[in-house]
Amino acid sequence: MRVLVVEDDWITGQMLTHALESLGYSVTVADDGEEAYRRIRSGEFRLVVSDWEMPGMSGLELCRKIRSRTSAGYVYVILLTSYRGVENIVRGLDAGADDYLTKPFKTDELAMRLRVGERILSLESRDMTIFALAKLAESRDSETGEHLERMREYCRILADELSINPQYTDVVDGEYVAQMYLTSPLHDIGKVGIPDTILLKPGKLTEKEFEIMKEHALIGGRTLESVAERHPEAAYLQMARDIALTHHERIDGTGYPYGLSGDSIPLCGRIAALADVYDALTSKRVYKNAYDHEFAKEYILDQRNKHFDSDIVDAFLSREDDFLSVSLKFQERILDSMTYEAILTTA
Amino acid sequence: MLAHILISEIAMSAARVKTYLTSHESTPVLDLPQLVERCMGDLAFAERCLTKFRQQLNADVERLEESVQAGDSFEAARIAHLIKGAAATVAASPLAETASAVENAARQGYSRDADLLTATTNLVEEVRRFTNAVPTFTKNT
Ligand SMILES: [Fe+2]
Ligand SMILES: [Fe+2]
Repeated sequence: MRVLVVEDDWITGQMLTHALESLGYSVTVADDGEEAYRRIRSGEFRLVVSDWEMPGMSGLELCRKIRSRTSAGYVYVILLTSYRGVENIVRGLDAGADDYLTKPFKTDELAMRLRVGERILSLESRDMTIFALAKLAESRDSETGEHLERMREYCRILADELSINPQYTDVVDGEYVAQMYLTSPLHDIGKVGIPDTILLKPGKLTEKEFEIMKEHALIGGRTLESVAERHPEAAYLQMARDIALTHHERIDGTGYPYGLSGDSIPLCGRIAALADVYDALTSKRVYKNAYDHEFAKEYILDQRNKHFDSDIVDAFLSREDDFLSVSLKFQERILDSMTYEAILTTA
Repeated sequence: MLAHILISEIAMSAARVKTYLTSHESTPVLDLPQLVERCMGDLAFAERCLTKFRQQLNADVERLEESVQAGDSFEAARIAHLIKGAAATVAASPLAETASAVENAARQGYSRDADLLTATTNLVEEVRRFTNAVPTFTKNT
């Protein structure tokens, strides 16, 4: 991640650069506040380490200036200061600084403060992405919301089961399970690029319409790819992209968009594929009636090594009861709203 | 990796001994382990920083003395502040402290005030002690 160091003393600027580069950041030094502000306005930097006392614009004024104008993304500012008094900390906070580093800096403290900053920035872009999804999803198909709720539960169950499989313990840890839960709702985000006439069509799609429908995987994958590029610090965006792009691939190579097979389909995409199909078969959608759990199970078993990865089919079998209870829990909610509608129409 | 750490440990303790030997008073002019830590263990980089710092220091002190002579306490405070910051970064705390005393005296605003003159004399003395001590150990590590 890029860091802008604002420091008027050359030696300190060099030593901060050296330390930050050893920690894996790419660093630019601005030797006064004006130059720093220009660089920040260009949108190149979201992480800033600034000296407090500088001739011209001080670190405090720089903070105020950054906060006085809204920018595309939050800019995280760490002030370097030799003052330790409470009064000065309050002044800094008041100006909009996010954190402090005492001068002369210590490398472990520097590393820690920057990690915190990175984490906060990645959470911010995460929230923004999820929020964008929520808005897009609710604006179209009314059943999409519920599908996403169930889908993320199924994904979590499958990933959780794989995490205790010795073959996957290196890849699937608690973080992976949490990321799966967070990012699986983004799998169909590309449907925003599909016309209503096809997306909401009650009957079966024609071959031509289906070809257009298939594009949602590519559209979603590309959209998330561009977000992931802009936020390389947010690892979960790469998972989101993989899921959106590959959740319709099949293990035998007959899926879309690329016809990938076996391990060349990312694991998260293979997990999402089973979760998505299970939900499609057990929940009521515009174009068909819900099949029951047994039917879905039969299909999944039949598609072992065809549509689905056998390890994920096994994970599904071990956690069948959990799948069923999620599916029933949400069915009750649908029934509740149907009863409510029935009361309204008869009243 | 371990060998690398060992080598820098040895270099550091050798340098520490030499610092004590070459400085006339008991306080070392610089805390080398602290500097090396700040340079992420990179001794060559630490040495380049010290060389650059010494060059910058000599020029700064000259300008500081001029502004004190000229009664420009504002400029004196600014330069003393720069010296303080750079000295603290390279772990030369006695130097940073004497520079800080000059800055404080100059901030009082009384130009050519006795405190400012004394503080400046102390700083010049510490700079001499520093420049005399530093070359001996940086060359031999
Ligand atoms: Fe899809
Ligand atoms: Fe879906």
